[in-house]
Amino acid sequence: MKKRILLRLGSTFLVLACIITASFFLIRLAPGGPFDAERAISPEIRAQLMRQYGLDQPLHVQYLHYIENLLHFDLGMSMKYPGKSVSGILSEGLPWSAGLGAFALLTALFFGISMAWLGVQMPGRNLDRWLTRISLVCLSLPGIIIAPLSVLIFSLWLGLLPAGLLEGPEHLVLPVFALAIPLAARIFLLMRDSIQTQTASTWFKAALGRGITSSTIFLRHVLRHAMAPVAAFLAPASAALLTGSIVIETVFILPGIGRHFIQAALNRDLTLITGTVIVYSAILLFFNLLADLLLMLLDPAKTDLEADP
Amino acid sequence: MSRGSRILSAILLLAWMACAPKDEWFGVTEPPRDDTLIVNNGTEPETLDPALMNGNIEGNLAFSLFEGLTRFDPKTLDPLPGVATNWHVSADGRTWTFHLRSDAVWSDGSPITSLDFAWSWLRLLAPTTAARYASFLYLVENAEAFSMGTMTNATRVGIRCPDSQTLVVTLVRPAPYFPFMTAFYVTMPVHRKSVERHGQDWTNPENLVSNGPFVLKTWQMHRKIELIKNERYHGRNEVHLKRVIFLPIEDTGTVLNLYRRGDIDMLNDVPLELFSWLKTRRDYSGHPGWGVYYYKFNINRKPFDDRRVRLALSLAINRSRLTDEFLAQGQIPATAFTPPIPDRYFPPGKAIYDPQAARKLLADAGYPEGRGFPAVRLLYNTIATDLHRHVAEVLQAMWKQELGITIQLEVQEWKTYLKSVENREFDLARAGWVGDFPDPGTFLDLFLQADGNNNTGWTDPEYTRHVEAALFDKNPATRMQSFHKAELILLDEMPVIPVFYYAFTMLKKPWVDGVFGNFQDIHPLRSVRIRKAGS
Repeated sequence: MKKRILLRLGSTFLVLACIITASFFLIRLAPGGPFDAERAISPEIRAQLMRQYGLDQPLHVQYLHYIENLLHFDLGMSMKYPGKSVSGILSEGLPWSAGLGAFALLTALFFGISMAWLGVQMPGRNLDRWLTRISLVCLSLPGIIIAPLSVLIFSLWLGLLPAGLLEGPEHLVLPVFALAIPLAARIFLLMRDSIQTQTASTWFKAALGRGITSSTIFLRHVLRHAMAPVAAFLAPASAALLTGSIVIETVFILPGIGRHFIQAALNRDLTLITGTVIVYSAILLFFNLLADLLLMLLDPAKTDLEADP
Repeated sequence: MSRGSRILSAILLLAWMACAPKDEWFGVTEPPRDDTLIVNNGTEPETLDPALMNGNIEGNLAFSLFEGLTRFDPKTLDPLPGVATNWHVSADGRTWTFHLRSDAVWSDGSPITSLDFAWSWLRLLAPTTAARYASFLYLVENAEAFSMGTMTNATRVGIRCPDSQTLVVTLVRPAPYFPFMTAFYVTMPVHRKSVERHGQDWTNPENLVSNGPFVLKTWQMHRKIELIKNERYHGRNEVHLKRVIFLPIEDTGTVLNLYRRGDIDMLNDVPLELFSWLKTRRDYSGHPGWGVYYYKFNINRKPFDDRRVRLALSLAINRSRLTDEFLAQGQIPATAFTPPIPDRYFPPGKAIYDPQAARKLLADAGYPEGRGFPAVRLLYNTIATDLHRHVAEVLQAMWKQELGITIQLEVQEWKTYLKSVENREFDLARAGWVGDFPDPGTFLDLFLQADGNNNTGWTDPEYTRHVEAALFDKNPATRMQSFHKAELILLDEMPVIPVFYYAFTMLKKPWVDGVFGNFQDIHPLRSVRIRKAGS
């Protein structure tokens, strides 16, 4: 298992290295540069700016220089915001994005799992049917729709919550829910199926027959086994949270790093976009790794079987 | 933000509006209880260093944080005394002497002297600063050579300080508008000690020393910038606001939501999709801007190498129908390239709608009723408001209807579009130009050379002669006549089609006093006042 974990770690770093290299060169292949503007700057000033950022060097020299700096955790200076380092910009925004994502994930897990439990307690009844229907609707609603809709209802019509900005904890309620709703729906459906499979199994019936209370079985056994699909879902969920946060941060004007993912590319802020890609990829790879490790822990036999066919 | 999301926001807002009572004002009208002004600045500023600024987003902050030799009148934008109390120009119109006030101090209490201005201007010009707007001061003697690095002796640049309260500037040619330039953000002074001590970090809130009506309190990227009143500012008795918050919100739907709830006091750029509804509210004000929206031809490509074709395309545009019927946001049909400057310059009105003449010109060029007209493309860039697509589609339809020609539309993302235009890889391309100061020279000098911001490939010796004569003329009347003559040539050759003059739009809560619409959309906050609840 140790060897497997090490191999998995190694492959993660390899993927990250490939992503860094690809993003470094791809953004430089795009037409237009960071210093292009409607009001063209003089060739001398452009040359000076290119020199300042080392863009006058051959591409491979720039790349080696970038990697060397990266090993010292230096992501370079932003080309759009003079005087601001990329690591400074990202570390200012990352806690907000991470906090938003973590709150949304916890909210989604809480609602998804508890609804699934409630639904399974009353199978075939109205509650379960309605929960499933609502989940299917929520699942098909992207943040781009939920966010403005929630503002309209809770902020403009009811006046209960702020429409945006970040001035207090109440400002996080709508963004967290807008981000969590589709995720909670997916977790609910996954858990519901998974719990149903577990409770239909013979071991569950046998345990009941031995007189163990259903809540004890649920908490000690069912939940653990039923969590496997949810753990596997952690990686795509983190991807959904990251991409979802781009929209949510824009709509609710949260100072996260989501915006850089689009804006830095459009601005051709070469260092900021590469830095953002690296951070996002590292987060995604981390969650993929975490999901795999969790799966190994939850069901080691299955993972070993899959790994050694 | 994606177009889909914007449209959805708009639909939702419209849905809300349908149920909303028809107020005179939009949203909350209960005034705030303190002297804080919250404005939306449109996006995150790139920098707070005046020398590195190159747009109004940054400028809006500079006008509050710093003060130049002169400052803008909030209504007319005429230069008012800033750090300089008075100024005069020599008989030849080239040497300007500014006398600085003795009570002007930096926010750390140290006095502001003419040496601060000289040092700041040389810093703007220095090649190592790589200021994108360094050319703004090329009007100063030897400034261009110094900035290009071909002359390294800074003492030869036409900036002198006979004493600590006097700044003498020698220009390469007369420029009656020079006191406008000394109010502009790039010419604002920067605190030498802070710059030298902190390097690029000198604009951080803990380091920034400034000299304007406000000082920087916090700068949280993509969240907010907070300024507070500068108690050391010489005009502090006229500053009524205690706090100003600049928000960097890009999404127009979100901005409107916040404005409606009273979380924002004023905003520029009213969203297009809601314009016709919002302009009936008392919050709205619109004013002509000093900028032109135009299309440029690549005159090295057929069929636009033929002047008759270029003229035909211009004459076939019904500009007033475009601005009044299709856009209807206060834009003014452009009859020339340079927008008129009240009391100073009235351009010749040659870009008019005459479809008959247009058809004849096109037939003379060998394309009767559009037959045989080659496949050409109109290039424009993506933009959040979709304005460019809208204009392009209307003009495409007008050309089809009036001339029988089909022009393909080609859209590119912003930086790709800029590269295509720079490399002249286009037939016809959208463009815009906003003047820096109220002088036709800032528009007409675009076509003095074929490169730079021209991109059409068109130059004309006679045109150049008139523009240069105007630029070096210190007589205001003959100066404007020369510009007029040059503009006539431009409109007769039509390397660019002027489409409309920009309009600036604004929403402002009833409690905001002292903000006025003007031709550059510059709103100095020095004298702005909040009418508070209960007052």
